Amino acid sequence: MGLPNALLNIDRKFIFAGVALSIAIPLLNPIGFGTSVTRQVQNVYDFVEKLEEGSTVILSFDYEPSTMAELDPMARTLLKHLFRKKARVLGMALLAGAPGIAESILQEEADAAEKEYGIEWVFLGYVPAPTAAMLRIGEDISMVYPTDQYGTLITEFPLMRSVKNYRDIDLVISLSSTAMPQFWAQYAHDRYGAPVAVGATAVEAIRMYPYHDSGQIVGFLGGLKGAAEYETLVGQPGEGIKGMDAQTIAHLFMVLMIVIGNVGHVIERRRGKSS
Amino acid sequence: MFRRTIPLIFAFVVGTFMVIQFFIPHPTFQAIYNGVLDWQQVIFGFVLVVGTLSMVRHHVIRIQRKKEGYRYSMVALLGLVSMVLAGIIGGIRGGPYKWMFDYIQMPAQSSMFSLLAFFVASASYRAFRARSVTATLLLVAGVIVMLGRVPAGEYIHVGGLSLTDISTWILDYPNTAAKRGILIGVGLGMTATALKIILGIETSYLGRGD
Repeated sequence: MGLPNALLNIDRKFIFAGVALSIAIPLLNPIGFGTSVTRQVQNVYDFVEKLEEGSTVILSFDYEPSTMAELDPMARTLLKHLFRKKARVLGMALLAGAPGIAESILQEEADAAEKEYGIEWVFLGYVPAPTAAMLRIGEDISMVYPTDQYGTLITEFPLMRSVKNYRDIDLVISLSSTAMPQFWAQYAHDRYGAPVAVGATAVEAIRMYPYHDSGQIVGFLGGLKGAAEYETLVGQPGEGIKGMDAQTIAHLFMVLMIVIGNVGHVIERRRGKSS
Repeated sequence: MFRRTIPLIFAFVVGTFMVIQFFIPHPTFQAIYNGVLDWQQVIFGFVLVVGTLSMVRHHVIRIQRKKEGYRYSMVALLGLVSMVLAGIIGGIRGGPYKWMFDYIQMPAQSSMFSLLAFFVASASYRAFRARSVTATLLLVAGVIVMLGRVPAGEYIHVGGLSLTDISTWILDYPNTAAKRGILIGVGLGMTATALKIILGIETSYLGRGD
């Protein structure tokens, strides 16, 4: 067997157990790592901070339960900030699995901030054909959403009487695990001039850099770290900061496994050469 | 004619109109454009119906023929029917529909996705090997970004820079440059394909046809 073989052939059960422990232990016993703030997150925060009282913001829940661990903390902390700034929030969803998540988060955060439905926030619900909906909102939002999620005509809400299209929207925020933020940037911003901010999973956030540098989006929150950074800026620690402990230990564990694998690989290669 | 000529004419007319209307802010063009967007949403709605029917048909056939794992098909159909019934009978605000979403669909989907952490750890241990110069570059960049994106990276310094700084540089410059190149390539490809469809050169969307 030998040392290289032992290092190269660690049973996957041990790796799985290591990942489980490196995630579970920090979640049960928080360490409290701090996190620095990137300029992409700072830009979103600064933009929201500059919103005037009564500004209108679209918060689009473009994700399903599979990625809620990364995106729910973003939704919560963004809503806390928006409600604190007395912005009016239009919640919507462009994926079929999103309304159930959006409904709970919007209701809980609005209740916590004591915001009144129909005046300070509305949940418009799900519509199919995302790109058509984004473009149609640029003309007339009531053609996409004649009613809210619960069937009430949107014209009955005081909030919606002053909102016709993107000209009345001060910021669009897309929380997504898909390519949806790119479409928001291309249609809502490029065609209609609406400022767009993004909250994306860590995998999807990689795509956002060119859009941010070109000014097509004001900034973005990338993965759980993005949520933790925003929680730090807002000053209300939540699931993002809590999750960073687990993510830190899990990443260290993965790097350790990669190092072990490579040590075994180097020893084996040297032995092969010498023999 | 109905399978080839009319769809080609339709694609040409609608495609050309959608390009032209972008540059003409006339109310008539605007009204037609809005109509096209409405139709797009209506068609998408029908696509959902077709998709659901296709899924039901697929699983019914599996059950009828008792193919391997057909019991999973029974669970899938049961899930579909029970969610639809719960929504229709009890409404979507609270009740059994919301309960099933909160306590079955959400944990199930989250659990499936969270399994990725285990497989990524196992796969990176086996595949992330410094076998060549390019593989080593990928390995080093990957490790720096993995550590730089968590607070630990702020405490590890190389040549006066923290791993977080190096990771930010990698994401801001090489990553952005590569992504921008890909995006421009994709954009040009989409434009070329759209033109080929409008001009009737690309006809694969018509199916194999006659």
